[in-house]
Amino acid sequence: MKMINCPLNGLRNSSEFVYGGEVKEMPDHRNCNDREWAEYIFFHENAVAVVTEWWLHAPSSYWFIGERHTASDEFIRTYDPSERFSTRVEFAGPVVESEK
Amino acid sequence: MTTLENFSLKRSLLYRCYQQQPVALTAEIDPGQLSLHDFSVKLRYGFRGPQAHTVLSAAQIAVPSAANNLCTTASGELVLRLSNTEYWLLHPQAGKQQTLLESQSTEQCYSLFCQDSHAWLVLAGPNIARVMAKLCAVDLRESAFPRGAIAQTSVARVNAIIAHHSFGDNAVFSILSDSASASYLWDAIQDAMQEFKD
Repeated sequence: MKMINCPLNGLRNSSEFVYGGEVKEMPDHRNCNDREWAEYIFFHENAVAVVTEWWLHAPSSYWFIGERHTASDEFIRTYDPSERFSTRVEFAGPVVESEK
Repeated sequence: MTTLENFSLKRSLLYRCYQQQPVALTAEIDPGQLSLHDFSVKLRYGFRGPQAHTVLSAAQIAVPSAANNLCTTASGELVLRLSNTEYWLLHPQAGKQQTLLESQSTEQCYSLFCQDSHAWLVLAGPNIARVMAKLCAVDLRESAFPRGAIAQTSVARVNAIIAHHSFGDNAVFSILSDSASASYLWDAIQDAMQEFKD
């Protein structure tokens, strides 16, 4: 069985993990158009390259980031999200009249 | 502060599994006998959040220095550190009144209700690591998984937290798993134990 190195729990069988999609910056949902939002939600780059993805270690409910090569399916690196995110990503509030 | 009384009078969600084996409900462990016990009625609760460590320290509760480790307090309760910001407190001593820490419901430290979400099984006696080797991919032998260690992994294909600790003079595995699949896990562990019973 393939193994994935969880930054919290160490090497574990890949059956313990759940794929969470590519790590992408969320567009401003108040100002982006439908195409940009659909790109963010539904579309993937799907290139032969090293991609940066969210992964979940299900038994510990721990989300982390992995860099994986899509051709060899090898993980180059896995790390805690705190390396990229210092604060929780929140939706911006509704547009107020003064901002229009 | 909330006080919970007489947890031992409550009926475990697993009671149907061991109606023929009343020993399963007792906390008396025979070190020479491989046995599985149901501690699900015993008190446990948790905290998660950036301030969880501070809250526990303020309550004079020592916490493990690293994730996936546990420590035992002077009163016998187990403090499990499941991640950098998540702690569970387990009270294996039954009978007397126990006191819950005041519920913290801020974004910085909030309560986890593992009393309801998780069943608590205790596997004790000889060959416990060999029993678990039939169900679980992580090496749980003493050399790789000493007392004080925690493994969060898949056991018989359901998610579980395995804690290796002392109970009295005995080394035991506490297994915390989703209450909805607990009766399945009980049967799976019992089945794995058969090979090592007299």
